[in-house]
Amino acid sequence: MNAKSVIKFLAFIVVFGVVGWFFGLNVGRVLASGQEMPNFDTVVDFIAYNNMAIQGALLIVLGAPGHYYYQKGKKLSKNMDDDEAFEQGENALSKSVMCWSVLMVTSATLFGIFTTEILQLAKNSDIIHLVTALFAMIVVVGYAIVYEVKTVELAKKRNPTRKGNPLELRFQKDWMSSMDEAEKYVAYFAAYKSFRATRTALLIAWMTAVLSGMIFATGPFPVVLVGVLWIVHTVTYQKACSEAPQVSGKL
Amino acid sequence: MPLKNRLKEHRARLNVNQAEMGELAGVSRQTISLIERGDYSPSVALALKLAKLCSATVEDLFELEEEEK
Repeated sequence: MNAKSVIKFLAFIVVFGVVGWFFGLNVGRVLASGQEMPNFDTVVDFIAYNNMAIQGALLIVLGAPGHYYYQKGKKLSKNMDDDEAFEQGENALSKSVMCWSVLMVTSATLFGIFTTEILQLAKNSDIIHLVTALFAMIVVVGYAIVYEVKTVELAKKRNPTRKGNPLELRFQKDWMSSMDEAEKYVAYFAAYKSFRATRTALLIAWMTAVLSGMIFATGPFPVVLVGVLWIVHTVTYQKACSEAPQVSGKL
Repeated sequence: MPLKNRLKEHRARLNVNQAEMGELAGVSRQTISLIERGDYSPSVALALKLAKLCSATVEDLFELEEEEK
């Protein structure tokens, strides 16, 4: 460890410490003054009472590129002798899967936001909003799943050695074990990039959860949840590293 | 370590596309594509298999790039 990197690290801690102190001081002043803090009630109410329309808009915004890339991949699969077209088809199908996955997660998140108002809706016997929100999520997620499955089946036609049924729980294991050395290399490379991005995201999530706990009184649950996820993330990676010499083909 | 390869030339000489080459070598088309683009260095076993298919030596197919110091 050299002196320069230690100094840089300490400078980093000091700068962020000062920023945090400054921020905390001002938040403390506002809290002490009894001034009402901003809350997300308006946004949550909007999402809760317009859930179906928002889910519909989401389906169009993310479903359109998903469709576009799927159709592009399908078109480029017609001439399997063209190597360049094959590569372009692979890229298009990857983007298609990404669109459908993001759509599913966003739809589920919106529904999750909706459920924070569920007690209020139940008190008001507001069955319509309850039913339409659930229906909207099921339709959007179901649609995304159908197209993810279609994309995987198309990928299997293009790469006959690939195995796995996307509707089964063991799909990831089967898919991975049917990959050859270069395909696994690409998967591991992507997984490590994802690991690094998630580590940064978890740090930001922790900071956001701590601040929101102070400002918006969200309680300890967000911080605890982020902490648990962070531990799972770290332990899974470290354990996999120590088991790596015995991996040889296992997931 | 950077690796130059002449797999594409040898494949053209054999008059096979990437899918056919992959089938002969027991790997996917994507693997052949990644190797030809220089994005993936094959394992020793695969390099030997490819060399045998091309009726060449591994050194004919692959060459270490000299790194600039």
